[in-house]
Amino acid sequence: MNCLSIDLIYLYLEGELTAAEMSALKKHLHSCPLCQNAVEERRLLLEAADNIPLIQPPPMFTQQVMSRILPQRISLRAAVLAITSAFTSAAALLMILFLLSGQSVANMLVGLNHAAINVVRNIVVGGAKVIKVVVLVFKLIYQFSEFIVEGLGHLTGILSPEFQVMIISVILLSTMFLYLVVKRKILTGDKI
Amino acid sequence: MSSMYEDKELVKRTLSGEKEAFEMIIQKYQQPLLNYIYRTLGEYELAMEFTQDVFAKTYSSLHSYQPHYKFSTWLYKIASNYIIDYWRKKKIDTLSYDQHQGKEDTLPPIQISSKDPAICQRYEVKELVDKIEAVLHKIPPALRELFVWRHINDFSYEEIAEIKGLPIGTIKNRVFQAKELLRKNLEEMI
Repeated sequence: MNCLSIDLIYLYLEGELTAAEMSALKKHLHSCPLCQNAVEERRLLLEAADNIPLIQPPPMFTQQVMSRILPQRISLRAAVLAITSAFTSAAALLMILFLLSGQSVANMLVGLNHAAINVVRNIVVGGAKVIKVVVLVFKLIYQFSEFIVEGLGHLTGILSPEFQVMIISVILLSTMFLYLVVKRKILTGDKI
Repeated sequence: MSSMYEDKELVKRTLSGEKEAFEMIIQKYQQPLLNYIYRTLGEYELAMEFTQDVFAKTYSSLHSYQPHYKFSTWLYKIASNYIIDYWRKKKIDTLSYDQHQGKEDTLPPIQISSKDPAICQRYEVKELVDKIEAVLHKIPPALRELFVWRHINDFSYEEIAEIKGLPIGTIKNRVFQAKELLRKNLEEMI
């Protein structure tokens, strides 16, 4: 038998050879120090490889994974449940009110229809007003910020960088000083 | 109850809305999966993040799980694909091993060198473990993955072949090559 190939050595070490192959290999090993050395090298390598330590996941690992997985499901389910129960409760309440008022079913349905129309009308009108106010507020904020940016642009164009740094430093120091004074007054109970 | 049957039962219970069943799946596989990902990538923080991602992906794909598959095989397949995607995005060369699917490896046969240095004469097993951990990242990612499955996760060649969808002979050959590359790297450390 010729010297062993590497894969044959690994097959031998992992017990994957047939009895006949094993016998031939052992016979060769007995008379070949080179192959003995090669087998011993790989035996040690395999032993070490099988002893590489396992790392442990952190104690809260399962909870961390579950909190990543479940939120969407729970919130969707909860939302559907909340909407359904809100509609059911509102419908039940309306029914009870109309029944207590002693009106006929036809009147009740007409009343319900009127109420629904009123609700929709109020929502539409109210929504439009809210949108108008929000747009106005955004316009104001935008114009104000434009004005500030433009003003600062002019100011930085006029003043030298050293002077700008000095002004910023003075503002920061004044703010810190004011903060410390106010804090001290509050702690000592003095009137500001 | 066998592990395979147990897994399938847990999947079934998870799909019927029992979240505790999926918690049991996580508890069962978190350590082997984390070790596979950590040893394959070599970065602890990234491995933690990827392990969570793999469980999340598994959970969201659970409806497509085919019960005739072994659950652990399916889980590791998801993990392996996730890691390969990451390597591709990072343009890490995976040696395109998977392109040879079904064919014999064309890599050169390994021969015994007469200059084999006696690692066994230099190191104790404990020392060698540390050295292997230090050089593991030097072997190609695709071979490292197989080595980790075989020697850290203790998978059989059949299990690895099933996960990768490759013939057992190919898997054995690649694992042997991974070990030889490790040995060569250890030689260079001497």
